[in-house]
Amino acid sequence: MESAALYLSLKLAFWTCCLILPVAIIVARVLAWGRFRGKAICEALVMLPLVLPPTVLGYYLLVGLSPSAGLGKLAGQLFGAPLVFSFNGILIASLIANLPFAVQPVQRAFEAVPMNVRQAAWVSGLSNWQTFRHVELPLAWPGIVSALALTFAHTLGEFGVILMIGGNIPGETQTLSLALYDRVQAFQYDQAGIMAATLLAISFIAIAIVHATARRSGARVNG
Amino acid sequence: MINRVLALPLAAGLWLAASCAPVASAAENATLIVAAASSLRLAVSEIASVYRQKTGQQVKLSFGSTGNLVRQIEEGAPFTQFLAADEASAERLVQNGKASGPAQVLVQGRLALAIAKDRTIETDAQLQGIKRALGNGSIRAFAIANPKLAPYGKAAEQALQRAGLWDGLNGHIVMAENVGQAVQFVASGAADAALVAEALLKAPAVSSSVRHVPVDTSLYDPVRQSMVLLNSAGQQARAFHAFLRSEDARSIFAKYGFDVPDL
Repeated sequence: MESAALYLSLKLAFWTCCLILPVAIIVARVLAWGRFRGKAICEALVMLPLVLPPTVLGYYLLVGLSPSAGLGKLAGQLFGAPLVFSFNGILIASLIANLPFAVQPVQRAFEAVPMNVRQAAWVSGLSNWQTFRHVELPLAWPGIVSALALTFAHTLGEFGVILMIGGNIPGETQTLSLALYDRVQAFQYDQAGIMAATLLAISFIAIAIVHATARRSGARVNG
Repeated sequence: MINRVLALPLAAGLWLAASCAPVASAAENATLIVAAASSLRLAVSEIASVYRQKTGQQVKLSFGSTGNLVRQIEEGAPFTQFLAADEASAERLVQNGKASGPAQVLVQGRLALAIAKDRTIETDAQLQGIKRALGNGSIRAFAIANPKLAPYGKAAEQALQRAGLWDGLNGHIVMAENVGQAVQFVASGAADAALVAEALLKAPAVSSSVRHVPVDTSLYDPVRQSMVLLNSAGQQARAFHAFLRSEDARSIFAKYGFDVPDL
C-alpha cells in the first residue's frame, strides 16, 4: 500500500477539519439565528460547492491561484512558492469544497437548540459568550462531530479539483484517491484494490459516525 | 460524553501533527520530481528503481499526458525535469523559458494495435483487420489517447486517417486522457481495440489480456520522445538526467520496445 498517499490524504483531511471548524461554527450560528438582508444569498453561497461540478471549482482555482494571477502572485510571495500543484493549494480547494459539509450539520444542530433554553440562560445572567460556551456548544456537539466526520471522509474522496489544481505529484498532491486512479492506469490492480478497500472502510466509518451522532442529537434535544 | 467522542479524532490528529515534521523534511530532501509522459511509465519506473538502488536517491515520478504536463509546468508545477512523448513539447518549454537546457531525444516509441483478448478481430500492421471488423460490426469501442493532449493519440489519429479508417470509426472512438488510460480501456475489455504505445503492453496484467502487433511505421510520423531539464533542476536532477542516457537505462528502454538513438 502506498503509505505516502495515505499519509497525505490523512494530513489533508486533518488540516481541512482543523481550519474549517471555527469557520463552520461561526457561519452556521449566524445562518441558524441571524436575520439579515441577503441571508438567502449567503446560504446559497455556502451550499454552492455541493452542486458545483468539481471541474468548475478547479478551473476557477487554477485561474485564480496561478502565479500569473494577482491572487496567486500575492500567495506566492506569502508562502514563497506557487499555490497551484502544492499542498497548500489543494488545502485551499479542500476548504472551499467542504464548506457545505461542515456548515450544514452544525447549522441544523444550532437550529435544534430550543429558543427557551437560550432565553433561560440569558435570564440566569449568562452573557452571550457564556451562553454559547456552556449551553449552545454542548447541545450542538453531535452536529459538530457529524460535520467533522463528513468533512474528513469527503476530503479523502476529493478527486476532480485535486487532479486539476494539484496535478499528480507523489508526496505533495497525490492523495489516496489520485494514487488509486494512477495505479489503475499503471495496471497495478492489486494495489488499487487495497486503496479502494481502505477508502471504502474509512467512508463507511465516517457515515456510521454521522448516523450515530444524529440519533444521539435527536435524543438530547427531546430529552 | 464529549471526551469519549473526541478522544479518537484527537489522538489521530496529534499523531498526524507529531509525524508532520519528519515527513515534511524528508519531502524537501527528495529534490527530484520527474514529469513523464504515460508511455514511459513502465520503463522509467524501472529505471528510477535501479537508480535508487545504485545511488540511494529517491526519484518521484508524476505521469500524465504530455499536453497536461506541459500545461502544469507552464503554470508553475515544481518538476525538475520533463520526459515528453514528442519533440515539440520539450522545445516549446525551452522557447518560453521554462527549461534550463536544450531538449534531447531520449527514445523513439512505437505505435501498436492492441485487441482485447476474447475478440476475434485480426491483428495486422496495416490495420486491414480493423476495416473488416468495422464492416461486420464487431467494433463498438476503439480506444485512442486524446490527440489534443497525447502524442500517441496524434499518431493513432494519423494512422487511422492514412489507413482510411478515421471516418468509418466515427462514433466508435473512445478518447482516453492519456495513453495509459487507453491501454487500460482495452486491457479491461471495455474497448474492443486500441492504438497505443507498444511499451505499455509489456506489463504482465496487460500482456495477458490483449493481443498486439506493431503498426506499420509508414502509417504515422516517428514518435521521437524528448527530455529536458527544467529551471528548478539542481545537481541531483542533472545526475538522473545523465543516467537516463546511460547503458543501464538504454537497455531498460530497449527491453520495453523503444528504439534508443545512438549517442
